[in-house]
Amino acid sequence: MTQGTNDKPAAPIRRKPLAGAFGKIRIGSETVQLLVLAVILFMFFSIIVEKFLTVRSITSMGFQMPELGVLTLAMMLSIYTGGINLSVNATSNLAAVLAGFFMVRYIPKDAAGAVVTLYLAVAFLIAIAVGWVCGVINGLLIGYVGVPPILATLATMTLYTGISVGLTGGATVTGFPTQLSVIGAQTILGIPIPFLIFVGFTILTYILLDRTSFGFKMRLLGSNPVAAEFSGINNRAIIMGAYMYGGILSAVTGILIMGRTMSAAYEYGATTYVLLTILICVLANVNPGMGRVIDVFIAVVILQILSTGFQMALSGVRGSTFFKDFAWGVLLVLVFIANYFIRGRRAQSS
Amino acid sequence: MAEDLLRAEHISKRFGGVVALDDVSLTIRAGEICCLVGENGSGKSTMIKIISGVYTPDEGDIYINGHHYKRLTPIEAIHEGIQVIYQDFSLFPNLTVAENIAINELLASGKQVVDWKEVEQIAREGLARINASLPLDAVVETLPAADRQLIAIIKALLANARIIIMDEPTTALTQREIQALFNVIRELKQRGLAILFVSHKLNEVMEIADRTVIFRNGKKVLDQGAAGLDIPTMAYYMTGRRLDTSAVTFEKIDETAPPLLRVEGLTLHGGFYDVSFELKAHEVLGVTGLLGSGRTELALSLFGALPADAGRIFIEGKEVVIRSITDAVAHGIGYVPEDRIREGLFLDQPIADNITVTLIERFLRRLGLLDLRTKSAEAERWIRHLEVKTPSGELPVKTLSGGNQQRVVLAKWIARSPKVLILNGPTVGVDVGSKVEIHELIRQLAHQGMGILLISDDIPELMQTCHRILLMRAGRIAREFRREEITEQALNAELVAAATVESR
Repeated sequence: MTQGTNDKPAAPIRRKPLAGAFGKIRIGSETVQLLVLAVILFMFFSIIVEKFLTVRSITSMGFQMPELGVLTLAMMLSIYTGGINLSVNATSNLAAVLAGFFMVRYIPKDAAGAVVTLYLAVAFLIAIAVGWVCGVINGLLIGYVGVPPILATLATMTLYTGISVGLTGGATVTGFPTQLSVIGAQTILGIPIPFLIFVGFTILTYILLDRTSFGFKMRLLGSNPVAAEFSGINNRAIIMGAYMYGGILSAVTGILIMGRTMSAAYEYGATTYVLLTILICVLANVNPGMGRVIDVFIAVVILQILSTGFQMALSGVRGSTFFKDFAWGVLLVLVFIANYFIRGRRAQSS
Repeated sequence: MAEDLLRAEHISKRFGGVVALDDVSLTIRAGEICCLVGENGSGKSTMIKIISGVYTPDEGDIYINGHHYKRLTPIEAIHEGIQVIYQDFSLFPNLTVAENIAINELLASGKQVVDWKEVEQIAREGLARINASLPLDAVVETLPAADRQLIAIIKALLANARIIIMDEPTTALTQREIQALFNVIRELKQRGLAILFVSHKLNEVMEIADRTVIFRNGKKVLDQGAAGLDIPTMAYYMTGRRLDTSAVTFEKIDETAPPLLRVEGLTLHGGFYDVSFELKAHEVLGVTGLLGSGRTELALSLFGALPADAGRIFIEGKEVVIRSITDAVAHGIGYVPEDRIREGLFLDQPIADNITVTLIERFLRRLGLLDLRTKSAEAERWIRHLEVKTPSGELPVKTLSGGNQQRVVLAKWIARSPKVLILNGPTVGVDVGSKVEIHELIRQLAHQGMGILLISDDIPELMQTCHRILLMRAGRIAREFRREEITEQALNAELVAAATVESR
């Protein structure tokens, strides 16, 4: 059953070494394709949209993309291990709401700047702890109870959103100390702080996936869970770890949203973020046991270029926000077609 | 002299730069079972596809029933009575037995409405042709492989086959089912059909062949009557190497040494009952029995995948509790599974990662980061040591042939140097050359002091590697043999006897 075409060695396609700060970094033909796509789109909008190629619009992109970017890393981990996580955005909002409650209720009105900063740190820890707990619940359901990931996270998505609604009564939590806006509105050397946070978590996730035994096991588990178990990998623990880290990343997104909007609510990003993170993972060719963090990063940039580009090009035109969704759809279809010609042909010829 | 139904003469076929067949001739005669033997990539499959019209040869002529063809199409081949039964039987798994048997006739009739009485009648007629009885309304995917094969044979007969080509027909069958299949094949031969039996299992070829044809590297290296051919000779023609198995030396076991693994009264309800045995260092212990005898369940229990319900397990004299695979691995047990695609390999992942998966913690350095250089060096070392044929360890493991894939699975466990290694069907679907090398490897591992539990229903394999053989029957150890005390024939008889006991 294993004979026939398998005898011929396929052309080496997987990883090309690229010298860098971390030694060899995994890149592949997909990385190059995505990079080319990003550059083409950037040039396209620079030419057709006035003021697209300005410090202001680029900085604004740097403020906008981190939320989606960090959330996509959480989504990536679940797909990488053979699952999916629909509760990423619900987790962000629940973490933000609880951290927001803490800030509103416990920070004294007349507290000094340094004290407020300390309180903010505690609020962030609360958010991360909430994200972690949400991840643990997902991990328990998927890894230990054996609920299919799509059902488990659909359930927890509803649960987490429900808790946020219940706590806030559907209202928006506001009245945060102004120092919080450092996270959402300020720059270091001209680079938006949220973008630096996004880059930081991208590097952390890269190291986790490609440089640790946890990442190695996640990849093999995603590739074939039965063989992983038969190789002595503790599948449950790895799944738990993947969803815990995903919960923490979701909480970080919650903090970023709070920093930008200076508020917290159950509904931020609720209609689009989950689907967008999946879309980016598809664009970056993330599959069970396959996918590169660098590709996800570039795909996030591509989506932001499209989003900002269309917004600026169509500002003032009625229905422009719908056209943005349309553009993302078109992009996805084009990516599938391109993949058919690039990878499909190869698969058929072998 | 039997009539020549098909003559393929001076056939050559190239795929790109690869010569699949080089000036090969093949004759198929009525009332003859012709066995076509060769390793993977020897050109067997290409030949089948040429005489069934799938491929057009670059050079050569095909004569079928006296008709001359330069280019044969699949439709012409079918009209000439050539039927191929592929390994997957090409059935509709979601349809019933009757529907599968009748479907060709129904399609040919061009009717728009299904007459279920007619379907049933066609099916009954078909079953009667080989005296088989199968439930007509059973869904095919729920049937064992042997029954699905019978359906495929019936379909071929209903299509007025004169030549039936069977591609590796015994791959998915148990010993007993193989015997049943052979009876059907002999019956077909009696009726004057020609059978081309394609296989690399030499013991089966020995049993069934009237004439044996051997291909190697796209050339025909042997074509003669089966009488007087023995397995070593066939293996020589197949591999081009003398595979000397007579001079195998067995590792001496220190009988007084305490056992490496001791099992007492191990029971898994629905699997096996009250199993006790000892395995010493340097020893290869065979476990045989039919499918369903509990042999695989026993292995899975020792490996923690199906924890036993009762009984005790001792390793090096200390009692251990094995509730999970992680426990088993921690106690120094390794397991090479029977279904290597599902349980053994990560097909899309690099060969190197498939090997180092069991060792990954060893490459951890400061801050919990992996030392990738040492990891790939270790993988390369095992690729060389087990002679896995690949240009690079970074290629996905699915690019390898069956024999090389199995070496990767073996490497991943051997690399951990387990105390006890359980091998379940280690050479299933592996070519003869690799098979001999894997047997040699097993003996080497025993030499190094590993205790090996070899689960297999390949009798020659057991005889060539094991010191002792346990025969399981209905979940219990029925007999124990020392290798010196028993011959291949006697062991085979015991296994078949077990079959008749169980089928009653």
